[in-house]
Amino acid sequence: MRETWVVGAATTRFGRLPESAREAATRVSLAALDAAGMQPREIGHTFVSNCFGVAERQVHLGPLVNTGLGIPEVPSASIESACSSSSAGLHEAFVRVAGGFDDAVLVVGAERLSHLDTLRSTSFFAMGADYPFETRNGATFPGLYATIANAHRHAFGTKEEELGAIAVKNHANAARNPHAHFQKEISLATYLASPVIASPLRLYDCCPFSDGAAAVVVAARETTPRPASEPLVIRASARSGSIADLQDRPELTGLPATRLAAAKAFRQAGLSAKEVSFLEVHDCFTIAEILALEDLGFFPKGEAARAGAEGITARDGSLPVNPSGGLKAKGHPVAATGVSQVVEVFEQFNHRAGARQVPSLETALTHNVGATGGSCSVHLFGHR
Amino acid sequence: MGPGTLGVLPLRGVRSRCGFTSGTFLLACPKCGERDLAPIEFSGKGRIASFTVLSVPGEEFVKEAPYAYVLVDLDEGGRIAGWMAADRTGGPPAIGMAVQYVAGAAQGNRFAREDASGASR
Ligand SMILES: CC(C)(COP(=O)(O)OP(=O)(O)OC[C@H]1O[C@@H](n2cnc3c(N)ncnc32)[C@H](O)[C@@H]1OP(=O)(O)O)[C@@H](O)C(=O)NCCC(=O)NCCS
Ligand SMILES: [Zn+2]
Repeated sequence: MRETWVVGAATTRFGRLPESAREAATRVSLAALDAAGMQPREIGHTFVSNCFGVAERQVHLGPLVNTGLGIPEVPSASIESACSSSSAGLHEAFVRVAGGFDDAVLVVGAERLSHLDTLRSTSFFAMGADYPFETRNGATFPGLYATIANAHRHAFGTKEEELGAIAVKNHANAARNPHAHFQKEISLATYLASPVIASPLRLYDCCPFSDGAAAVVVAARETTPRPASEPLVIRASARSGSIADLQDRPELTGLPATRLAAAKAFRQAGLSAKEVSFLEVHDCFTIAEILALEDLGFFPKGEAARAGAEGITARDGSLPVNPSGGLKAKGHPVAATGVSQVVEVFEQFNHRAGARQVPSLETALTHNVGATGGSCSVHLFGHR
Repeated sequence: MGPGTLGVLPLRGVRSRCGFTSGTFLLACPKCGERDLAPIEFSGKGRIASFTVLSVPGEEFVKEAPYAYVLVDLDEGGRIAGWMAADRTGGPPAIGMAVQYVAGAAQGNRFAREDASGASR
């Protein structure tokens, strides 16, 4: 395998895009190439993720993006893995570059559905669940994670204030991120006063419906030895799956796909959780940040709930988690999220994260979940 | 928009030789790989494994909201998803609560709490 780097990265601001997902995807792709100091014609393959293109009556984005970048002859494919789509694209890019099939690959994710109302958005998002066996029984994504949250609470006594502390922390981080959907801090009182969406989850437990786009350029060290920005060395790129439906899994208090992907990633990199300096994890709901910290191996099962409340996972804590603001507050434009986590690591490693810069930059971990964990990606990044 | 044929026969499931029991669509067992899955009919009686009460529904459940989404551990093994109407008496569902399938819902597996006499309401 060739040593493989992330050499460029870029994101739009999350929230509301003034243009189509296709335009935003093309624009951030060019920005990521600029960050790498590369030209579009150096790209050998493009992976595009856009889960809800049908909401814009547009699929087959790859050729549109490549044509817009002036490289119409470059092959492309769409990668869909629900909320983990673009980290799945990153994994495919890693495989192609590390395996020597391409020297440089573009990975871009984009989403736009702010033109839909709450009801339509909820239904579009629910398409990532099992339609006949979950959705037709009343499941929505807040509902599925709320079902996990109730099971976690029943088993381990997870408290409302512990969930709230995660929302408060991630909003505080997002308030320092100019790309975030919500750039405002919230108090625990605001959290506790917010309406229940799916018990026990409140409005401030949920990620919002966001538009946004993010892109990275993946390249081989031997062919791109001097990128314009400090590159991230991809130490591990691992994916896993698990039984798709929650009701068919023996355990409701964790995501088996996270455990499997983490084990693979740590083995690949020859690293352990102790060596990770900060994380971007999949906090689509506050409970999901707790699940992630437990299933990735940073806390024993049932013990991560205190991490937010005790400040361990704050920006200046011993293990910063979601310095970007996470899905909760930076926003969750589904197919852009996986790559946007890597954009945050890239900005941190290049000391461009401003007021949210984390103190230690040895090794970073990104964790991106599809739906309730039917699919999951874990990546580990280090320095050259 | 139709769901196809999946899920239209409620309370049908399969059981694998290893004991894995499911009400979803499987041609092989996700636990042991067995392809010879025995078709079974569920009793519809069980206890709530976990649940949530939703106030923000998707398009399918606009008329039911607020309602509960429930995962039910069936007495004979296996766990299936379903929903419960908002409760007018007795408060919200709880983990461990005994419930019973109620036939005739327009969609999904509708459950109701089972009281001491064994009747559902
Ligand atoms: C919680 C939820 C139902 C709110 O619906 P919505 O359509 O965004 O709500 P509204 O547009 O009515 O917003 C009402 C207000 O709350 C704010 N808001 C919306 N979602 C928010 C969130 N998640 N966190 C904090 N504030 C939020 C809005 O900005 C708006 O504020 P304003 O009145 O000051 O402008 C919706 O965001 C949701 O379902 N989120 C989860 C998405 C999801 O399932 N993702 C997949 C994860 S696997
Ligand atoms: Zn089996």
